[in-house]
Amino acid sequence: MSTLDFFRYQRQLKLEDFGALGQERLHHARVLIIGVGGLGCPAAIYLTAAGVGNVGLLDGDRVELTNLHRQVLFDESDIGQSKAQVAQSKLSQKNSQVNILAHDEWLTTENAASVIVDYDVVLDCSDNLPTRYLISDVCRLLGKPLVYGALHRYQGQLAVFNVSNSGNPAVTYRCLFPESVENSVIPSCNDAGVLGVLPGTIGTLQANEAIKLITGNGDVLSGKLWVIDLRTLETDTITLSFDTESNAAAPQDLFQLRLKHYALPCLSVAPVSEMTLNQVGGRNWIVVDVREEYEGPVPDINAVPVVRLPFDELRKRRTLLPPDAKLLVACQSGLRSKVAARILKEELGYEEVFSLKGGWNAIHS
Amino acid sequence: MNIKVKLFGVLADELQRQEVTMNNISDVRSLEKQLLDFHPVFNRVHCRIAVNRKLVTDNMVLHSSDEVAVMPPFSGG
Repeated sequence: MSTLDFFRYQRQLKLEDFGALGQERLHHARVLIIGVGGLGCPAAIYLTAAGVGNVGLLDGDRVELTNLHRQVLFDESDIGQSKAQVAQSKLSQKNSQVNILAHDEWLTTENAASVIVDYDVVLDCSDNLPTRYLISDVCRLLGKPLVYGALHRYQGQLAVFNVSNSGNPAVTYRCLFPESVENSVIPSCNDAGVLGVLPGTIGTLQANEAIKLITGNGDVLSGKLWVIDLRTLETDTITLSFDTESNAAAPQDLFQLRLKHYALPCLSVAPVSEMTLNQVGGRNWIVVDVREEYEGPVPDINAVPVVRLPFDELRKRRTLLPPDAKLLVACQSGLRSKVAARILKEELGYEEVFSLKGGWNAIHS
Repeated sequence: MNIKVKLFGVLADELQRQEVTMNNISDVRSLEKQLLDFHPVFNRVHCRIAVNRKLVTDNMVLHSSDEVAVMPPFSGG
């Protein structure tokens, strides 16, 4: 260790159980952060500052004004630029000793294994469930410890997967949440809202778990799910166990993984197109309201008939919709309707299916 | 037997409360069934049940003193 490094890391070197060995282990470590957003920014800042030798940043997104309240690496002047590249440049200024690699791309079944294989620890800082399953599956197949963080409004989840606890099979993300098409309706931060300090808290704790994994100090949160509510500071720690059945649904090798359809939101071949009400006209059009009764009455639209068909009854009551109908599917916010449209199209065989952009919210505002 | 159930994430949002009390519950299966009838969000979201801070994989008998939580996936980042 150079004299400069000694001074730079002096305050953490002073920690007896961390010491020079801990610093050395960080220096040789390679950590990949997938998603340089609310979670990824604080995680990257702390890992870089602590002296992790190699930090990879993967994100295909560009900085937007609405990111700035929580994605703390970005400034107003960064709007429109690559998140991975901006973050790389800022983190290099923070610690020039760290080799920071920008992967300015989305994670797909094509690139996932070839990117992840080069790292020792992976942080899931993504913002959608399909990407979370893809990360989990690749990390399990490659035997990479996975530090998971996820948010909902004021609540955060934290866990470490693929790390075996006293001989028990390593728990995966699928042991916690088996894959399910219904869960595509779980909203993201963009849809549900989030206070900036929540990803700040969870992203920082992801960095903490990564440091524990690398240095071997402390108890890693493996086989457990930790949940916090920032409104009350109440926390829960839930013990998980390996679930054979849920993991059987995962690809069993990298070849199967490449062929699996993860419904990643970044893929340009989106199976469902969006439309506004103004674009609907002519014969055979039906608006399908997939909301439940309790969510409010069906809006009255001139010229186009509206059928109420709650999401859960799509398959059961499909006869309400003639086979040659052109369907515009609507829900409150435009999220559930996309999933419903996909089911109507792919499973139930309707040829022309669209989703109402922004949902009924967009009509009323 | 009445069981208090702690709700997280989108479940608490949709029900507009952090906790519900379910009546006539004997085991985890009967709780699952009652939740499905109680509110459609339990149909839409595939969530997991934890009893005394342990994720449930098989059916088990519940006691009124048990701490029961229902956890949906979180997706935000």
